[in-house]
Amino acid sequence: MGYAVVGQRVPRVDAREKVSGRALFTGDMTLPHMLVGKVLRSPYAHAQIVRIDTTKARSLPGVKAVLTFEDVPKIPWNSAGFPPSPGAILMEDQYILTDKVRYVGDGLAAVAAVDEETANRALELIEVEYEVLPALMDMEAAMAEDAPLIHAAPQNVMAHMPIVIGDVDQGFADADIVFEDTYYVPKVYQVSMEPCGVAMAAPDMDGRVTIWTSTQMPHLVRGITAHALGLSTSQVRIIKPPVGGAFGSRLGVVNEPIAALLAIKAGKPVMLKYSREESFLATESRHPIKMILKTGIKKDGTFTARQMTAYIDGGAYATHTPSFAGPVAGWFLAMYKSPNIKVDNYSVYTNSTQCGAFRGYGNPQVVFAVESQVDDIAAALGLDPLEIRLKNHPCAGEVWMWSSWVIESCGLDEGIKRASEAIGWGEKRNKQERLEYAQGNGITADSTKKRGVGMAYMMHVSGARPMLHETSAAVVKINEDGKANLIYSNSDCGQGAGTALTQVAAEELGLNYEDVFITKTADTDVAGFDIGSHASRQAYSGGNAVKKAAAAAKEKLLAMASEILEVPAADLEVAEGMIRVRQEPEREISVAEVSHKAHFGSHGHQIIGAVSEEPPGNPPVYAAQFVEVEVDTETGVIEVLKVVAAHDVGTAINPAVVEGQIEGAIQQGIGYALTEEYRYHPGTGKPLNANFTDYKILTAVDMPEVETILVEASSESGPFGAKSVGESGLVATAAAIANAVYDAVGIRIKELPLTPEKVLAALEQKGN
Amino acid sequence: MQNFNYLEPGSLWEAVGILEGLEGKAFPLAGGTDLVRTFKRIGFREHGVINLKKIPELSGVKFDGQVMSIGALSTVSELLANSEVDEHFPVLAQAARALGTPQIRNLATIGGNLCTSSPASDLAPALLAYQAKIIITGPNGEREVAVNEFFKGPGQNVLDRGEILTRIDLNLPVPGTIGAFLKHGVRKSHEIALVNTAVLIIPVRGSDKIAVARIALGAVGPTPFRAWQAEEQLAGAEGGLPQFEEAAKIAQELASPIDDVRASADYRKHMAGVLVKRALFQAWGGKV
Ligand SMILES: Cc1cc2nc3c(=O)[nH]c(=O)nc-3n(C[C@H](O)[C@H](O)[C@H](O)COP(=O)(O)OP(=O)(O)OC[C@H]3O[C@@H](n4cnc5c(N)ncnc54)[C@H](O)[C@@H]3O)c2cc1C
Repeated sequence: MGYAVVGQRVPRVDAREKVSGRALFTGDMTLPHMLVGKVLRSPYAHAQIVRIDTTKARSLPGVKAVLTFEDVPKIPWNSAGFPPSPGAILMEDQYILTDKVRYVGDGLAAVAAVDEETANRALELIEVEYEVLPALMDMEAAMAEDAPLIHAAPQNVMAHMPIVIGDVDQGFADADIVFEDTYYVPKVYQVSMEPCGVAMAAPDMDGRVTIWTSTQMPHLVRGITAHALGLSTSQVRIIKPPVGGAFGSRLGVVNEPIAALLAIKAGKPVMLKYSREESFLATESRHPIKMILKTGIKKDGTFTARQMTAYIDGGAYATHTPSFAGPVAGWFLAMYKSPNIKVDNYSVYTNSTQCGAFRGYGNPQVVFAVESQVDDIAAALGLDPLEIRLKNHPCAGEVWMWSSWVIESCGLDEGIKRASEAIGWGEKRNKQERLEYAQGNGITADSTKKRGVGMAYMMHVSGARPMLHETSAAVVKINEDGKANLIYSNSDCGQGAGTALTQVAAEELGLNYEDVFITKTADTDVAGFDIGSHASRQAYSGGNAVKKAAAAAKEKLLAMASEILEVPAADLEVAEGMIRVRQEPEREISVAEVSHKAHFGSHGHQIIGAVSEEPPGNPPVYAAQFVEVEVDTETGVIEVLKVVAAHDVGTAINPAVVEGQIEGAIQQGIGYALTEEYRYHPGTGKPLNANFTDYKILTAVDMPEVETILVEASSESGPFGAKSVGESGLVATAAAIANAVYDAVGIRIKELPLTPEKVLAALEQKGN
Repeated sequence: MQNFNYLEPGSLWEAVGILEGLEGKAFPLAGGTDLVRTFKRIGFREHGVINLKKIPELSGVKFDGQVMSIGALSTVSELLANSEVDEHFPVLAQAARALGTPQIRNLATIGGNLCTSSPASDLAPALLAYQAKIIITGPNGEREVAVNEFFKGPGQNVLDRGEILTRIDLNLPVPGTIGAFLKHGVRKSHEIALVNTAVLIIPVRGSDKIAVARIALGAVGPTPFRAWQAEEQLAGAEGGLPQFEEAAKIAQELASPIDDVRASADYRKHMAGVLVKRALFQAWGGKV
């Protein structure tokens, strides 16, 4: 490809400050006279507040503001970070504080006080009388005829999304075999290192409020927060310092409106920092989904009909859920070709904490179901699991059902080939060879440990077009020393987007990477409107704007150089900060000299390139993950021995960042497969594991060997051919593990996580 | 940060005096890894801490060739760094290695581990297998309690008003003693045991027979306990998988675990058997 900066493993722009501990996160900040905010949370899963008395709390010395439903603007809103777009179904069912609690942890009052202890005491002094209602902790209970209503939606169904392509009944009639299976995936949390829900708000004398917040979406959070507060968008200023991981949890408003309202009422800055427990209790998780898949297929492996009925547990407030049902359908539709496809998605309210975005946005859920079933289909028909996938997935040049646009590039086939070789698929799937190998290595046939290999495929997006807008804005200004600032609403939350965008700018400008400085902190008063970090869009969408802004600056730079060197601009090139005549490289001038002349020559001006636009497309990315597991048939423990992950990411702008994204995501994917599940008491709705002791994310010691293979099927429309990688690393992992378990011991578990107890139960059932 | 009362006695007697006077209002502080969590639950404001770390008698590990005396304040990391522990009490070293995370091991003390009296303590089964003696100092002077009499229930032990655990004494096992510690959890690290077990076997010299076996289990009853009946089954028996399976079955029946978010009682009970069998087999020299 021959790029100078793109494709290089340059150190991340935020590496030094983070590894040295110097980075200042929102929670590290302080302002003079800053107060501490705290939220009073419901102990009940479902209850009407009959009486609330804050008199004692208000009269406690040191308490500067006490808020309840009485004090919040009566403006319903929706926390999901969506731009108004065709695919955004934004049911407004929230208030800043509620008068009816809908889950354990629902916020019903907030205080600001001089210190944490006073704030906590003030919470204790608030008297609340509840009329407790039945807790609807699962979708069956919520959808029952006589179930009490959580909101106004009949039978607690907030939305139904039907999609029909062709005629599935005909398709099932045409099939040789029809498979029908039900899958269930649980509620899991993003658990970023920095707890979710950290905001510091400061009102000013002019009716504006500034909020420092750990967010993925500075501009959209500005708009939603302003709306909830009854302010105009520009009256809110969002500053996003470094963020300690997000994975979707900060994809929208978290607690910014509470912090802002407390600050406005108190007339002082307020820090509102959720604890780890609160970040479990009161912030958005991945959606639990029950998926019923019905698939008709010919003996040769051609799909005649594919159908999914999905019940999506959205929790207590709508937020993302009705819109989220769209991508859930999209993932299903786009994975395999079939003339007849039908999807019915029901979004359901329950008395659990509301669900939102988590890396993959519905895709890991759907891929677990689809790829588990495809594996069973291959086994039942005696088809090669690789062949059935290669035969049926849509390829480059075909229409991609997710967007209805043509697929620009697809590296899946190459990925499947390379990853299957790397895991040793041929030998390991062959049971006879395997047995001989085991015996040769002293593993006896009656050993309780059985090995198996499995795989799953996935495709993902590089943005959310055409469902959602994907606006990005970038300004590149070249300083008088020839170095450049990149002004961008940098919503990097640890994934490395700021680094990749800096590389894009440097590459396009012809500057060294070290000489381009991105705004590390996003500030909505400074940077142009940007959607933020969602849908793996930063490299593709942000990269598009950054590249064009850099190109615009470069054009002006070369125009000036052309005057100085007296050659047409078209004959000039820039590299490493030097502008040269292409045919006569000895005729050169530095970018610094040209820029200096621009600033202080006859027409003083700074060379600036500015762009705000949506990217041209949404090229899909692909992955094939292969896993080897060892199942202990006596303990039920599944040990993942190795993961080979082949990912088509388009051009890898920074391969080290890309590999980091994939490996980190695989850690979450294995957790999703084996250990993670947020649980409630079925009767009371009290969370059972809102802590790191009992919510089991994997540690470094639990990680298997991970081999990443980058397949760079460059896109046509992306900056330097880039597509995406942010989310895709975990999408196929759980399905691949489930399929490897099937290969090892012949059990099919259709409900995540694959706990030892489920393994033992399935083994027992199989034995009988 | 929250305010609380803090006391820092310089001697054991001073600590005992303070503790006796403030019973229920102030708690001894060792590594704090459990106490801070307790305070988060019961509230800092109303309670105080009595920092034990300035009391010289409570620190240090001494070995005179026959008895190892472990000061209550010895941290799990100190046990791991001590080559005599590793050499003479390897099952305790294995248990220490399985406890928590590096950060926790650097703070957590052996005294705190016992006084917390969690049924899932990782050190307790090893100390039960080594038949440790617990030395306690209180208003009435010093007394000694066998470790199998120390625990009284989840979070409960024999410590009376004003008493402090000062040290733990271990007798050197007879030469040729073998053993193993196994812990079962969802993760490989940073895990509270669903079941743990420590076993020691004293083989009959020059034969395949077992003279004495000791089997201790944790997390499957209100306290960590010795599986006496299983031990008796093995005394005088041949060593080997069938015998170990038999003993494991008996041990499993002695387990009375609870159902909770971590695992079902049935699974814990099943795993108690599997773990005891595997620990015995591993100690005997087999692989698992
Ligand atoms: C993240 C995490 C992981 C953990 N993992 C494990 C694990 O894997 N296995 C395990 O067994 N434990 C584990 N623990 C529990 C804990 O770390 C251990 O029990 C530890 O040994 C407690 O020691 P400490 O010095 O920190 O006790 P402290 O918290 O200081 O004290 C604990 C209790 O004992 C009392 N106390 C302390 N010393 C004395 C004394 N000398 N005399 C009288 N009373 C005393 C205190 O008042 C307090 O009530 C974990 C804890 C955490 C936070």
